[in-house]
Amino acid sequence: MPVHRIIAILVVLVLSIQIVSVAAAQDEDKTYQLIEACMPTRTLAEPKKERKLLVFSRCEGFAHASIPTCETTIRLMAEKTGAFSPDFSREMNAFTPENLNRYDAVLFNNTTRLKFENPEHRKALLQFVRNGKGVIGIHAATDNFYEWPEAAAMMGGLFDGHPWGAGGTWAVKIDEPDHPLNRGFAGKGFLIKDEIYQIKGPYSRDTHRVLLSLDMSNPRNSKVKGIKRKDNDFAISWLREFGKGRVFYCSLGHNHEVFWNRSVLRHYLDGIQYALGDLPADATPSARLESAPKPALTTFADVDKDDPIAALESYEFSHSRLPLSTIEEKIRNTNPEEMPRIEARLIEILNSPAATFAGKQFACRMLRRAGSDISIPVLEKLLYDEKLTDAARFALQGSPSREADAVLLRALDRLEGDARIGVISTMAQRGGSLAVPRLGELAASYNVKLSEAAISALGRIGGSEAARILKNTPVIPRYENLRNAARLQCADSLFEKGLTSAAASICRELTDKSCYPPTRVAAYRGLVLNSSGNPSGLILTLLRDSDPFIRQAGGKFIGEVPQRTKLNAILEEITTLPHESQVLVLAGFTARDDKAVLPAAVHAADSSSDEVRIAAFRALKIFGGADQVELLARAAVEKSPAGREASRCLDKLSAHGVDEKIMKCLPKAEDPVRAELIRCLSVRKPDGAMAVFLAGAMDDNAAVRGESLKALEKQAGRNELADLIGLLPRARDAAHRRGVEKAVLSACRRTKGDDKRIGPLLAAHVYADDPATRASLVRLLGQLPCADSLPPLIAGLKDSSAEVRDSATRALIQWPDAAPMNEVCRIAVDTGKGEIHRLALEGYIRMAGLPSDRPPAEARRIFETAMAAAADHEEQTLVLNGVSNVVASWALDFVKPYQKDEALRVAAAVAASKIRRALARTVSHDACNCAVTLDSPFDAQYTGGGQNALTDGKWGSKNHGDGRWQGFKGSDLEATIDFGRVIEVRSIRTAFVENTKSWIFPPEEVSFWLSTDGVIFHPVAKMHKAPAKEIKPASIHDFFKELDNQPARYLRVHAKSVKTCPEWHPGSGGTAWLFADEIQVNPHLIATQEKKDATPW
Amino acid sequence: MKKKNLLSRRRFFKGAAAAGAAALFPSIVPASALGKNGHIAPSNRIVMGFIGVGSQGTGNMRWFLGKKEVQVVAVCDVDKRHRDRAAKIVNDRTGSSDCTPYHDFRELIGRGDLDAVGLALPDQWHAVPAIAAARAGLDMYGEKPLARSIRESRAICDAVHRHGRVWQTGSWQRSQEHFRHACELVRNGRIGKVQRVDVGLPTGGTTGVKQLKPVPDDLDWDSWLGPAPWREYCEFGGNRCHWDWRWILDFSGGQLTDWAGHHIDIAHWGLGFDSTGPIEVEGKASYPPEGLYDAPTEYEFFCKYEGGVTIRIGNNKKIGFMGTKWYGEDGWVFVKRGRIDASNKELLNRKTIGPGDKRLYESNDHVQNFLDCVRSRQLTVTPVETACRSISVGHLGEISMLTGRKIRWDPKKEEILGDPGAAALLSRSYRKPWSL
Repeated sequence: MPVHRIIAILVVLVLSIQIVSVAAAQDEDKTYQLIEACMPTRTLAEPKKERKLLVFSRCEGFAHASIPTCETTIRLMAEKTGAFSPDFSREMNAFTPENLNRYDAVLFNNTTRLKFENPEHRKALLQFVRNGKGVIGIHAATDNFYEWPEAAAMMGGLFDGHPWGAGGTWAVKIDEPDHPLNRGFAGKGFLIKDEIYQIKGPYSRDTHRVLLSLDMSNPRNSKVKGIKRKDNDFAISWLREFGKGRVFYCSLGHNHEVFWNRSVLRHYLDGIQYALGDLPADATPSARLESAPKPALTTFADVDKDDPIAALESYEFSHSRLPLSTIEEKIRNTNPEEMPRIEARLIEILNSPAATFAGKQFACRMLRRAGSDISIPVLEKLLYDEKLTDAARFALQGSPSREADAVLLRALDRLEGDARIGVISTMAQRGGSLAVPRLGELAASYNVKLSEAAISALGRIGGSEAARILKNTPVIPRYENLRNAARLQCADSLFEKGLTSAAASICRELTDKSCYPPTRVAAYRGLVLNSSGNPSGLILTLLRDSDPFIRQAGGKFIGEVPQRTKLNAILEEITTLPHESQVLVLAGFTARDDKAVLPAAVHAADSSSDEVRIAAFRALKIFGGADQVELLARAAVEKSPAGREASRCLDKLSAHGVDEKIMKCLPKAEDPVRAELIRCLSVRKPDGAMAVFLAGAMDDNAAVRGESLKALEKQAGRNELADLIGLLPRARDAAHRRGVEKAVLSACRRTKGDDKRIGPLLAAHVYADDPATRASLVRLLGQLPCADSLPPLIAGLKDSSAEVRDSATRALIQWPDAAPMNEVCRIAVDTGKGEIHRLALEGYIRMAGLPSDRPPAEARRIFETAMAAAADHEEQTLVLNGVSNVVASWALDFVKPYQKDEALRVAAAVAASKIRRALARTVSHDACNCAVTLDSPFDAQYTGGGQNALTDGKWGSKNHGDGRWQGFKGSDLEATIDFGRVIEVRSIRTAFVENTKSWIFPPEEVSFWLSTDGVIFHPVAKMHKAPAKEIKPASIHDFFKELDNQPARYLRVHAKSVKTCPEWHPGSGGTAWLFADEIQVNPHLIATQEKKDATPW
Repeated sequence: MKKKNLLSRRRFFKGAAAAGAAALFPSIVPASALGKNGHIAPSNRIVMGFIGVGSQGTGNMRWFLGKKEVQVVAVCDVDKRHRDRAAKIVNDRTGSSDCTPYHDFRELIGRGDLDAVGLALPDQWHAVPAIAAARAGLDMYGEKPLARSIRESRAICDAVHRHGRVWQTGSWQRSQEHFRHACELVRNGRIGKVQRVDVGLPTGGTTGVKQLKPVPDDLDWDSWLGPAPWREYCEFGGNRCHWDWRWILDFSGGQLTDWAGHHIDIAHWGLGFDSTGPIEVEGKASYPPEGLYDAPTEYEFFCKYEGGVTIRIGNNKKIGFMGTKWYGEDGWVFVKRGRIDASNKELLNRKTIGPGDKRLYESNDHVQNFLDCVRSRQLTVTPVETACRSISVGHLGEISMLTGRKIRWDPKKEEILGDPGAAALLSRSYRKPWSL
């Protein structure tokens, strides 16, 4: 390898080592800062003298990474509190009697597997403690002295694994909330992420005063592997007296983070002070206390509720929001005097280097509600934090303090990039003129984003200074329009303040033709709406502009000018305007509800432009009255958009006297106009219109007759029935007759009661001399089927008039029930091939297919008759189609021979399959009507028909509400069916409907079980269903199992419900439904048919 | 400058047609512009873009596509799946590829050939594009609620008014005959002087704590958040971040603000309160203590108006129904989707309102009404000021319930009186680099 390459590699190596060490140093720095930030500054007890503490960190077994962290902690604790001065050692010679006696206590910092092989060291330590000095153990301090029982007893126990690993978060209870060493925990259980030891050996509540232990009532602690102790006593922290000496042990301290937990640091400090002999604390063993203290347990909710603000330190977006909502609730319910306390805590979070981004962001959000001037300095600091600057502004934006403005102004010059733009955005929303000059300078910046933000902000702040600065600031051409929009925003603020002339001069300047059209519109609007004189002249100018965009604005302003300002001058000029502008003027006046437009609208109704006329009619709809009826009616007969608008206008005219006027005009008007007026009356439905329609029905003009009959068809009832029937003999032509018939028919239908409905028709039939009227009546009776209307139809078959015979024939063929079946059959048989023959055959087949209780043989004979009457393959196919609707086994036999007929093969096969499918659903099966026992009840709303709905022989459709599905809300289906005797089970089928939109899910799993005695059930099938993943249209899921003639008396069907709506579902977490229907066993008939066809549909 | 040129082109486009210069068209109109809508003269065509094309936005767009005078040439969404799907819907319909999908709404607005835009974005995104579109001279069909805060609502109103734009809010209930009839009954004193009104809105829901997820490649989460506070991405409602954002207060105010633009809007219409607001607002809500959603589940607040009417607004469990019910000296009128009722059944006959009665703005097709107004330049049935006043009620209720205090409100100056803490909630601070 060439030398220069080696050098290069070395350089790289050296550099990378440096980088690593720099990173490590940075970490150390951070650790130091974190611990420092959380370290208590005051001791609970004054040291009685200068105390010396030996911190011993030797490992003969596993070496904890947290050892240096603990050392840093002790060093900082000494510095901050002055409780002691520490020496640090990892060498055994620290335990020579001479050396040891210089100290007041020894702290075992995560020492492991210490053997103390030198007896002198052993003796020195035991004497040291027994004679009244102290011992402190942190975390692994119990992982020592396995061969030295006395020392193990002194420390208070031996390590026996850590079922609660360092990665978990565990619930700690305060065994004695009032104990002085526990004051850092504020009397509340807490959660902590650390490794928790199981202690064996010389641990007992008879000797120890237990301070903290695992809260085994909290499920998070009990769900771990490796728990050996049976008494559920997992102490974490304790005191004990040993001879005259004092021991404090705490098993927390595996994870670094523990050393920047305020409460734990407090606990350590107080424990050390106890061991040093400065902090008096009762160490009477827990079991010997006269009254057992009440421990402070944890529940997740409690922990977070009690110090929710502290929980912000570690809050992440993926965490429980409980502490957040608790803080919010607290702020909502706190009286103003207590708010400063909350504010102070929130500030602490913001100052804490340990707190997360999400936690700080939330703290800022709360400061928006709980903050005062006190939080402004910390918020100012955060403004310079790249990530938190937005959150800081969130809190500052609403602050009523002037200081907030000053802070923002400072930041404006010290920040860069988007953070700076953010500050401008906040300034703009806060308003106020403080920042205006500086923003003006930034507006001229060549930094485009900055310039854009500053210009927008000036517009939003508004006022004369901003306006002046915007005017004089040179901006890059790209922002000319933006600047002008901002200037107009200023102009609006000036108008509002009454500084009309300054505002107007901005507007006038920006109406210039060279300006961007939306700018000009805004400028004109300012002038129009704030002009001291009448703006009509200006609006007219706009309406005459060559640019449609400006003309449109002129039209818009008409609608916006306050009503008290008269704009009649515009109306006077309307005819001189281009058509497009006339439209705008008419619409504008209509919108401002200005009656003055009426004459102009009347005039415009005759315009040469359709658009203008439409606008005129729209205006007349609002302002017009009886006087405009003729004008509108004339226009309404035109077949054009304008005509249609006039017609709509006529229908809606709401002034008094319009109806009267219409009726008055009618006789004199020309024919098409009369027709239009009648149509209009049919919409307006005034009193007395019916007489007009009845008269119109016999008018000489066909259009008038048509409209009148249409109106009658829409509205005539019992009162008009007799008159209408009277019109039948007078019908002028076929079309007229059809119109009258339709009117009679709907009048009949509006008449209640068969006799009242049919009676007049029957009476008229008796006296009807002319065949045409008789034919009409027959047709009408045919459409009003009841027992009384049938005889005249049957009689009509023999009428002398061909038209009556034809009408009667057609009416009978279409008769809705099977009453005239014989007649229809005869028609089909007797009539030669042709339309009537075919219709009759269709009718006959239809009637044969209707539900009836005729015996199968007769039903079959009817179809055979039809088949015989069928004239060709097409008609034979009709018969087969008809049979396919029959649900009976003879129908299968009926279609079978035709499957061999080349021309009918397909139709016959389709029919066969349809019949079979229908049979499968409706036909009886072996479980039919058997008793069902349900494990959990069906919902009262979806009973499916009751207790035995699952065996009622009726299958539910895709509509879950069809009354056949049995619904189970949030529970499984477990149905047991008793066949009443042992049968041989060949197949089991059941179905569930899925309609996830309605929260109805298919089961996850369905199993069938059989039993002969009702006690022991054997599984025969278990089927799974892929869970629903999205909302789909309703569908039915079948579960089917074929068996080999298995004997059983009982069947149990178990369907597992999903119970709650899954996460993707809109009802996520809500109770899910299970809808079941029909448990079918050995369906009859099908089994003997083609097997293939018998499987699921 | 670029904008101006493009706009002139558009105006030339329209102006030229009026001047009968049809012969020029083939050279400047894309082939599809005539497309299946070929029988509508270009001068009468309304060229539109849609910003926010999730389910609501696409639904709106489809409604517009059903109108023969509308031509959709641009869609925009920060979710690529949405914008591609929407562009495909349009292009499949016109048989062309002329509808362009955009990622950034500013590019869409800057095209210069649009007449109007449809806006259907999460609430935190209502103000910025609307104001930009107003400044560019576009008319807007915007979803309710008008904005996420009262100050934003007012800023939209000002921009729309200042630039003479036509605005329709998605408060489509005003385009239904039975809602109009109910309001006409109230307006015309058919139940006597109105004393109080009950407005029932849906009850909010909750969800669990959600796992953070990597942001899908085709979703621009940062832009989706836009002016809203930063948060890590997670899926909610099983559908990326769509639809169910409305239960998170950073983005929306929950069922209350979602429905304020419907039933509160109708309450105002009946009372003739379209340009005013309450003077006192007080109420309480329960907020879900846990889970991702933090919008209120149950809520109830009272709004007192000048003249003594009180509107009580709450979730349906509190109020007993969904809809609007006015109580007058002589009876009551109730209206909701698909139903109208009154103490006096005779009032239900539409003919009860006849000659001489005050008639309310008649619109029977919300989208058509907007299109008609784009041409006539007059106010729509739900103009921007109306939307602002309807949602203000929701926002004031929100502020009262968030602070737990009674709010005194000056509806003229739109200021909260005597409570700077509550007043701080009238606006929202924007995440950089966005500004109002």
